[in-house]
Amino acid sequence: MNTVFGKFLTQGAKHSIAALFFIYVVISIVLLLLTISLFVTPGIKDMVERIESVSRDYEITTVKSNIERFISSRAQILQDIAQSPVIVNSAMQSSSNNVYLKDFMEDLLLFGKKEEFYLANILGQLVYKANSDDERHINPEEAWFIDLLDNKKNFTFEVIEENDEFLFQIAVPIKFKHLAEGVFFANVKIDPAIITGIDFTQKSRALLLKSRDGKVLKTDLEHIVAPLELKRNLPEIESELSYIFDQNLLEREQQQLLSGITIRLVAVTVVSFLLLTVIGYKIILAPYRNLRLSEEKLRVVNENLEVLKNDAVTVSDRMQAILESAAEAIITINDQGAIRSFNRAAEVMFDYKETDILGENVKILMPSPYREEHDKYLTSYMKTRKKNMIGEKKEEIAIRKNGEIFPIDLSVSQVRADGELLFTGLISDITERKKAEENLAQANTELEEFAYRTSHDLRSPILSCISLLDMTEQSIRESDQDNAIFTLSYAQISLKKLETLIRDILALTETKNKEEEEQEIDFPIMVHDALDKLAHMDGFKDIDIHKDFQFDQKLFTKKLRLCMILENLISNTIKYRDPEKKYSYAKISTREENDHFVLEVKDNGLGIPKDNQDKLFTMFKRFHPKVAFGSGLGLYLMKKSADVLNGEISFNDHGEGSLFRLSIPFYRKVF
Amino acid sequence: MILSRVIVVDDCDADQFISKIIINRYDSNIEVLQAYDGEEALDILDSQENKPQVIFLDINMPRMDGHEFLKIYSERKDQQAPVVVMLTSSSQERDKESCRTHQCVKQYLEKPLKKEDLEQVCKIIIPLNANISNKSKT
Repeated sequence: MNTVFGKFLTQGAKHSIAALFFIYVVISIVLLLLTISLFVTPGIKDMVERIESVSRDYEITTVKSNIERFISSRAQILQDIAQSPVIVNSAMQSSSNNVYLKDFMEDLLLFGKKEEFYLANILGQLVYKANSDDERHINPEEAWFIDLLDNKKNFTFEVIEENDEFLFQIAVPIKFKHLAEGVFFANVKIDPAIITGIDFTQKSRALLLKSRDGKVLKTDLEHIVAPLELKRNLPEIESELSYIFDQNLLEREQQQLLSGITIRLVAVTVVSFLLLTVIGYKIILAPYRNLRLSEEKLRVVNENLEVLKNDAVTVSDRMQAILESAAEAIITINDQGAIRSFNRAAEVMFDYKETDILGENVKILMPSPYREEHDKYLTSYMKTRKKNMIGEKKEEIAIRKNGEIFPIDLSVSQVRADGELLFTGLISDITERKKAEENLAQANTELEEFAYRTSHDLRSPILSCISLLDMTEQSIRESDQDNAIFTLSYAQISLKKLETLIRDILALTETKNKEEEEQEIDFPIMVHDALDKLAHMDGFKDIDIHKDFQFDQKLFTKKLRLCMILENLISNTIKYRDPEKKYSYAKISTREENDHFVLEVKDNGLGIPKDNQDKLFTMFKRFHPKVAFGSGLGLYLMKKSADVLNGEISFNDHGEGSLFRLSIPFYRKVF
Repeated sequence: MILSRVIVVDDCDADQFISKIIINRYDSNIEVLQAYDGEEALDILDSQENKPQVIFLDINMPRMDGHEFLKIYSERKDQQAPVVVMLTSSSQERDKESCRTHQCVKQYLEKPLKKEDLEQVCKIIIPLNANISNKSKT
């Protein structure tokens, strides 16, 4: 017996858990990455920005004052720088637009009183350029205060007029490469004689100067480079600047910020862990607990099923018992036709043992041509599912092990058991019923024939008599006595005929209805009595009767029936003797043959015409017109009686007369 | 002379006797042949040169009955064939119908034979005789 559920957790459930776990891990990683990118990355970015801004604040608040100090203390150096000769690159071009100094001045005034050191420096350079022929080139990339150039928009410049001389004071905010910034002031004196014009627009800032040789030069401010003197003093300035910066302070600030980042990271990790724990519980633990609960439920269900199964087994046993004790044969086959079950009644009906026939094809229980066609029926049913046989009770024929074919009632039903399609056939042997039906049909036919014939045969002699009596009457009136007697004799014949017929009909009715007990028969005595009874018949004396009784067993049978057959057989030999033969005989003999009592009556009489021998033993058959009168019921009566005695009567043509043979079983039947 | 020769086919002596008396009372010149069953009737018909004009035929007879006789007789294509008049004590419809299927059966009478029946039979015979004589003339 299999358990209903082999395992509590099915393979499917296990796979589901594995899949859930996998999903959990993936989701955890994704969430972790997500939290890091959401919280940590912006945080760190923020930190870095703050470090920068702190640094800037530091520059602005602390470094600024230091630089101011530095600038004021190094004013002379800066002054020197401003007044040092500068080199202007060769990008000075001659210009056709001459601007007069006066205009330039006006422009400068309009521009504002305070202008740049830058311009001062430029002007300084220009003056230098105008006063010297030294055209040294300096690579602009080597300029250390390149930032100055970037901030040129912020420079301020002032023109001071002194004793017909112009003093250009220029203030330029500078930004050192090492975060420090400040403003340089410079005063430059330019001999106005060399300034020929100014090109000072939004797009370009250039001065037009007249050199000594009389050429007008355009100075492009974009191409101003550092003064040589300043470059020379650079290492000194740098060392001066280095102490300005408080390295420790910066480091402390940065340390603080870094620890802030660490704390954030830890917090993010803790939050992530908590989040993952919650999610983990939701995704894995809760389903797993549910699974455990279902497993428990499943176990209970399983136990219940086990109980049910045990009940089912009991029911199944009972069903088996019912099947076995059923009166009808019950046979189960599969869709191939192989026999799967065969109950007791089937064993008895077909004479096969269940153990022998299981697995055999059911067609061995069918005679030809059904046997050959059954496979086709099954295949066609499996294909079309057209229910020709299923459900309805049908009359079929079957064959026993010994080859005997018998009629059956068959009803087939279809069941599906253990995933297999089975057909159950319910079979009852209807041999008895069919026999009864046939007998009934035959009895009906006979009754009809009987009614028809009696209506005719009974009426016919009466009609004749009426006519004959009419004639007799007429003859008497005419005093023709001879004729009257003649017609009367015919009337008598007709009435006798009627009487015979009525007697036979009565005998037949009795034969059909009479119930009689079997008794022991002394056959020789019976023959003797019969001959006595028939001795008065015409022609009895003309027949030589032989007796040969070889049967020496006790004979049990129905006496009146046997007697009737015997008397009929003897009277027939007398009635239908052949008058043309000089010697007529009848031989009555008995013997035992195959447990049967056999009686033969043989004569050399008229016999039965060959073409009529098949109609023998039917009602109202007569074969000899003009020879004696018979109702045509005699042989029919004999046949019926022989049936009642479970025997058979037959006729043989032995060439010169008839030979009737009666064969009946002589053992007393036990039921 | 309309009827000169008839045959009565019946197994019953009394009925044979009655039929003969009636026929002779109707016309004593009519010759009455007798057969006791179908077979005998066929034999007589075959053996007689001067064929009877009418066959009075019973149905229930031994050996060969009226129906069997008609079956064989109908298959004979004889111009001179006598007409058949059923004379039987059967009033069963199935017998009547069965007999009517044969063309040679002209009348269905129930026993006993009566004078009026014979007159009817003569009326049937006359036109038939006329036809036959016409045919022989042409």
